[in-house]
Amino acid sequence: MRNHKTLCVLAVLAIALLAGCAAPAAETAQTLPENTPAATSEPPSVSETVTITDMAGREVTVPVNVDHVFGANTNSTVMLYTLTPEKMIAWNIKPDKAAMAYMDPGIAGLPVLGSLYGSGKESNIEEVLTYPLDLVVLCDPKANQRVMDAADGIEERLGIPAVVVKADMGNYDEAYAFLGPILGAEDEAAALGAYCRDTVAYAKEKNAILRDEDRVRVYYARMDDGLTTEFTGSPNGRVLDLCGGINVAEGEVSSAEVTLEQVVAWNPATIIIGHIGAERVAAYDAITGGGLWDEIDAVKEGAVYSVPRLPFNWFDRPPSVNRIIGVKWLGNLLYPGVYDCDMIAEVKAFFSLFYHYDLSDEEAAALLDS
Amino acid sequence: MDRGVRDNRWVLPALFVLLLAAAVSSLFIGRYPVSVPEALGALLGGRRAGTDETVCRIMGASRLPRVAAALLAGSALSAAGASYQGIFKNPMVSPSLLGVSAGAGLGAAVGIVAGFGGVGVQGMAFGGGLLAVALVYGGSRMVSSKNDMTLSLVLTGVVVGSLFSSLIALLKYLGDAYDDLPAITFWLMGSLAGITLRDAAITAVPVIAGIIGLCLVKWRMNIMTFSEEEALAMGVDTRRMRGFVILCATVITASVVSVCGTIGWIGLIVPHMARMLVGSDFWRSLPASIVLGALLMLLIDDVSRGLFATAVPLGILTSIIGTPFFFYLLMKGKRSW
Repeated sequence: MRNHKTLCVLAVLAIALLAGCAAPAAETAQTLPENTPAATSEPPSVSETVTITDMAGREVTVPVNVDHVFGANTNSTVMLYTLTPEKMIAWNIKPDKAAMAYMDPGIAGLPVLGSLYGSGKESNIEEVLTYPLDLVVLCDPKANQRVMDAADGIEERLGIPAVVVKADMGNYDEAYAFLGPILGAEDEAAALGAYCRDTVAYAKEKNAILRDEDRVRVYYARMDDGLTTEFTGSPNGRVLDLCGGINVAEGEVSSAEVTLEQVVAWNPATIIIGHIGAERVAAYDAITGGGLWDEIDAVKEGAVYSVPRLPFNWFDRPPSVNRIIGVKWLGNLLYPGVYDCDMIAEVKAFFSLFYHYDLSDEEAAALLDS
Repeated sequence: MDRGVRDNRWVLPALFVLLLAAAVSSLFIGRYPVSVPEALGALLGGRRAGTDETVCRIMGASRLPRVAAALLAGSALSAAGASYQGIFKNPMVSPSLLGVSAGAGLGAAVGIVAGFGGVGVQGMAFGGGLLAVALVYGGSRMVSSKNDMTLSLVLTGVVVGSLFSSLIALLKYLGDAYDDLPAITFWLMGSLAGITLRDAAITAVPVIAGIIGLCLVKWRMNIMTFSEEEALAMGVDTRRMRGFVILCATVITASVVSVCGTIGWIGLIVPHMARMLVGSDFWRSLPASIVLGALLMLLIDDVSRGLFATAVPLGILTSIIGTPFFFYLLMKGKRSW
């Protein structure tokens, strides 16, 4: 009897082991041949390489012709999407349905491989290697030791060169200028970089002429209840800083929950709502749905706005070039007398240049309707 | 209490054979198509044997280190868990009882916020784990007057563990949202994905030393499961013995946690499985825990590597796969606790 029991246990173990072996093998066999040119018998082309210094000072040997590129995180992938979408091999996270409407279906439908750096689902190295890949791009605002280590680790595990791109609000022109020649898209990179530089310069110019008493006090509401915000210590408030708004949440922490009483005490003149997916509706309803929120000037005056989020959030996440159009949007919203942008035209121009999508006037108006 | 244990002598060798088979077959599991001859070529001959470079990379930089790490992590956590459950005479105890995971987590979080690279963070995590247990051990010696420190150790462990967890939460709160926060969260979830052969080799030294240490005192651990007085009467210096077991368990857990992050569940459940299979005599339950832990960790990592295009944090899989399996054993065993 006892023996029998033990036998059962071991049998279960053995079955689990076999199942563990068999299932992945079977799946691999089914799915791989279709979408893996890497695994087919294409003769390995002896491609030329060139050694460059990346923006973190690392020496990297990259192919002269890069045809297949993967962004290590969403930040990088947005930059790649603006520059050479046709060379992307995959997304880090699946673009949501609403965003796909503004994308080429072929690119919107690229595989989803997770991230090699930072938050989100971690890539499965072997899965990444089943796709043809020449280069990994890792964009980060800091390009510090951790980022450099991560890039080294990616090279070691994938055997594919990885370049670090230091990319933040103030230097997108440099980031594009670095990426352009590597990806064989110098002209596009120059145009994109110039647009970013001009936008930031424009915002700084407007910021300089704002009088302190005209500056708008803004509360940035996140999450369903609108009670999570980004404090002044957060890098997510760059757009607000650049536009010359005052973040009411002063403090060195970054993202944190606050109480409604605290928001009432801050009494912001404008509330902007950041959102992912359906969060928007919930937070908007919470804020405009009465109660203590009604004590706040922004709610009394109806100055509650949702941040446009398509195809990528205009205000923060991911903190990439998607924020550039947000600068004009927010500047125009807060200081209509100072900013003189025709937002419909601006949005159309931005989408055409960055997202390779020609918006109709109606679509642009719909995106802006917040 | 261990009726029929003699009939189970073959269980341990059988488990060991199963583990060997699993370890070898794990090398052939993964998302990238690698044929058996290719894999063997890469393992035996390397690039010189003319094997495709990507295949060599996958074997050397992904599969081999992960199989090694899974074996190490599974055996280390189970050995530590089994030893703790024995000396604390409590089946609900896991290797993180004395705060080693929380300490390692805090060390790693400090390293991450300070902007250290991979090795720095690992070092900080290891140091943090040792520090937490040293605090617990020192603290409980201060508060317990009698020789029996069991209860005071458990209590101090809970207190120090929750203090460290709060400090981790504080660092997450203060850390910057794009960079530090996800890095800390991800670290805490546990992963074998970033592991290199060098990591595995460095971890192997303290883990194997600690496991040997624990195995050397198997007999005394049996005695420790009696009451303190009985153990003393049988000539076991319970305090030194407890200190030694805690030292070994802490070193192996801290080594694993500092490289793989916190992997829950294994250290708590595997010792129970082992006892169900071979009885509660440490002579056999400790080696059985070690082998079974390695086997289970290996299977879970195979699922993580082989089934999903993006890696699933191991902590999630350990409980989803392990819990039904454990329930099955409970139902089959129907033994009293």
